[in-house]
Amino acid sequence: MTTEPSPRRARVGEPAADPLTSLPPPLLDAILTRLDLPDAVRTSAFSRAWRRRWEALPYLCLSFVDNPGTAPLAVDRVLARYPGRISNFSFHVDEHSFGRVDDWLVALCDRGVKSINLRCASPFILHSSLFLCAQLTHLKLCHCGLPPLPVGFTGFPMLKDLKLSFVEFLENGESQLEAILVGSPLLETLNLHFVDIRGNDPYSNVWVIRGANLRSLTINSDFEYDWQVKELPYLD
Amino acid sequence: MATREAGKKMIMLKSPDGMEFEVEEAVAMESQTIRKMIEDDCADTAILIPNINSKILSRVIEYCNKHVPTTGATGAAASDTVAPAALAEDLKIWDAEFIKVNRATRFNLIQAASYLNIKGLLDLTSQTTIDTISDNSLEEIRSFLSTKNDYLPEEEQTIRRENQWAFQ
Repeated sequence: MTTEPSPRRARVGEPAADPLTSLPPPLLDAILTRLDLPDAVRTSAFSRAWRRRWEALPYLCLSFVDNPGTAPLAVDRVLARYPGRISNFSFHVDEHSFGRVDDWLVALCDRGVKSINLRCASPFILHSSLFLCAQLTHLKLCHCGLPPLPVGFTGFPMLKDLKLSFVEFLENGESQLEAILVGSPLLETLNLHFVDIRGNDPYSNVWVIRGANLRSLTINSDFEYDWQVKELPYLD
Repeated sequence: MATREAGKKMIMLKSPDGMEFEVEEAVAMESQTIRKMIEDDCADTAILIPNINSKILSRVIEYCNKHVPTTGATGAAASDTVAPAALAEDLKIWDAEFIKVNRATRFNLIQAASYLNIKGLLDLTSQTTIDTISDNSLEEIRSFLSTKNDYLPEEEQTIRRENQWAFQ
């Protein structure tokens, strides 16, 4: 029996594999994870065989910091579709996106994020789940407010690089920053650029910078904080 | 040069189609897979490289020959006369020419680089493929992959709409 092929017939039958999808999946993963995020997502339009391929990648890098106008919808879409690990998140937070950042931080925390880079257009208080991202190796915040450390904060056991610029600690900045440093034993680079750590606790205004692995320490500040620098055996 | 040649240890590589390639051990060890075999003393006679035909294997050896470090125990002279930056630039130009191959060869090289674990070659072949995807329109990529657009027009529209930001 012969039938006229109709457009609907495209739905049935396995499409022939192209030379990329024919590669062993781990090899194809290794190649596709090199793509920029938009290009990775764009692969879904190649053909049916590619429809969900990007969603199966072992990790994605969500880097939007060079595109200040990026619609928050892009992040929402990726987080909704993609179930895997987000290795890197960088975003320029403005008035259109600051209402979404809390949800993103909660999601990123669950996705084992290793690197976060947030630049806020105006001081904006971040969600405390930021402090529960235990896989973080790099954290860079600019023009953000930091909430008190949440109950259950166990530090950043992997953190190597902490850069805070124009960041304000809302409460007890001294003890909070000290707790972060104590909880980040692998920290190699600490950069505090006009960080507002003035706390509300008048008895806790001396704070100590310790870092068994700290190699680079930069502090720029308008204020005279009572900081003490101790136990920095590797500082260059 | 003559004394350098004399001191070189050679390794025999065999492709499944029966060709044999005698290469310097240092060149063969650009492949981490072969390096491991040599270090584990599994390379007394000839090493059979499965799944990589002689045409591709000869290209891989050509790549390794070019990329084997010229400093160290086997050859000390090169970096004394040529600045490292110039060497790197020379390699880049050479790589760009090397990878001007047809599609089938490129994908064979990707698989070979992966199996033989030659990071530089895998980087080069992967990046070339990434550039093809990044720099071309959907139609051009489909044509490169010889893949048919089997979406219904409305399906493709939905995909584009879902992730409009990526298609701008």
